[in-house]
Amino acid sequence: MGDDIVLSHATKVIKGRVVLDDVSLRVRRGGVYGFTGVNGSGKTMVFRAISGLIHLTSGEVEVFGRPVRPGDEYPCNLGLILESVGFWDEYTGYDNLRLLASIRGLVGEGEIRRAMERVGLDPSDDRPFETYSLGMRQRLAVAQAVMEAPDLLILDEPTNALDVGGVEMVRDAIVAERSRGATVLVACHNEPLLEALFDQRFRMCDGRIDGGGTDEE
Amino acid sequence: MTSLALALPIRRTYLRRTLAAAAVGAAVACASCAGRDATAMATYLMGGGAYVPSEGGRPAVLSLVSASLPTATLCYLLSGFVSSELARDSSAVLVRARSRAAWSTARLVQVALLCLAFRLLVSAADCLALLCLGRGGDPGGLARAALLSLAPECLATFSLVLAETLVALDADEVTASVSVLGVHFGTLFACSWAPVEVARAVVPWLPSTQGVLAWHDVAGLGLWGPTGVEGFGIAWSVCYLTALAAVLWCLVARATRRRDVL
Repeated sequence: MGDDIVLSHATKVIKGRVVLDDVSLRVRRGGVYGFTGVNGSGKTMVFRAISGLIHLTSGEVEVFGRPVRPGDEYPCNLGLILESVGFWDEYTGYDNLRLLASIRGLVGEGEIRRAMERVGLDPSDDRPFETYSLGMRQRLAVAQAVMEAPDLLILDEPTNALDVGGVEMVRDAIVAERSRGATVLVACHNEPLLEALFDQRFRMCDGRIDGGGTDEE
Repeated sequence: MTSLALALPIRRTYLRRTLAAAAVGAAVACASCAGRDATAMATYLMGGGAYVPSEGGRPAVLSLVSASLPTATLCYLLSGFVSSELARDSSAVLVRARSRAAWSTARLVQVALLCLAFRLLVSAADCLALLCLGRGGDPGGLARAALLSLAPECLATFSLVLAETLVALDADEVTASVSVLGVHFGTLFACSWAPVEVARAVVPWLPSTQGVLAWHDVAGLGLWGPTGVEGFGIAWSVCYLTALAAVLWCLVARATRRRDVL
């Protein structure tokens, strides 16, 4: 298995509008990589391309040496937060995670409980998901992304709706995942706590990577 | 190893929508049966007799429309199931599934179950309405009619929902419903008003008429209602609709695989 995540001349055109414009990047396994930029700059679209949710108009995506083809099985164990996570309203947080964990069967009840506790949620809380506040929903989204010890963790605006404690929780989760050897891609803006973790930053503007390179701070 | 089955629960929204469509069916049944001859109304409700001309008369427009309401309601309410779930499942379910084919298989099985549940509920409502509100209903005959119509009607409903799903993946639910249901009910209405000889010649070959029991040759089964097209058997329709559903299933799976999840 290769060690890099590679986007090669990735272009995506949607209804005549170029949302990704010849984007090329390479990130090595095991670091934390930040994607910053204003709304509509293309951060989420890059994540959609890497996670195999869209078909590129041209260009290629490779994750750890294997091509990403939408519709095929993903090349590695992926944890993803991309906009809202479609939990089941009538189930509790714990039951939602149990349902998701049943798809791959990689983790059991213990790991699910620990993932919920890590994000500050109570596994024995019997309230259905539809009663959760926005902050609790975001915490549950983080829990589902990390509970299966993913090789690649993609977090798009993970601190949405979170209080200071929640932002620290996300930071601690990213640090823990990195120390475990996972590769973490994070999109955020104006979050100094997270930006301090970046091994490399990609600034995006109008669907292109604007500069780039190692963050010297 | 990812489970091929992807046994995930159906969201409550779609269970409610299925119940709502079945409630429309129950309302049509009650309104149709009150004080009327149960045998005649059984033909109308369970056999699709509303779409078939009887001796000396053509179906009334109001009858055609009311008979179409339950199925049209369900098809519209389920047409966005796959496209909506694809978007909702993107972050958590889709990336865990072995493939989009596995995901679409799981979701289409759920659609099939909802169609079956709808048909069972409507059949039960029809039987109850006929027995309780109609005059002279025969429980055994009604049960037999309900059972015989179940497979073709269920497959026909499922095929309609698949066709709408396919269109909705590219367009939207309203466009999908208008286009697919327009063609379907337009075909049924045309057959009910066309010259009888013409209708009888084409009915065994049209997808829209396969689910209408009253067009079938059921006289030999001792069922009520007008004699349908001679030789047009239920087994033929079940095979026809199964093949049609299989083709539509593959097309939906292919469209799902090709779709961008935005």
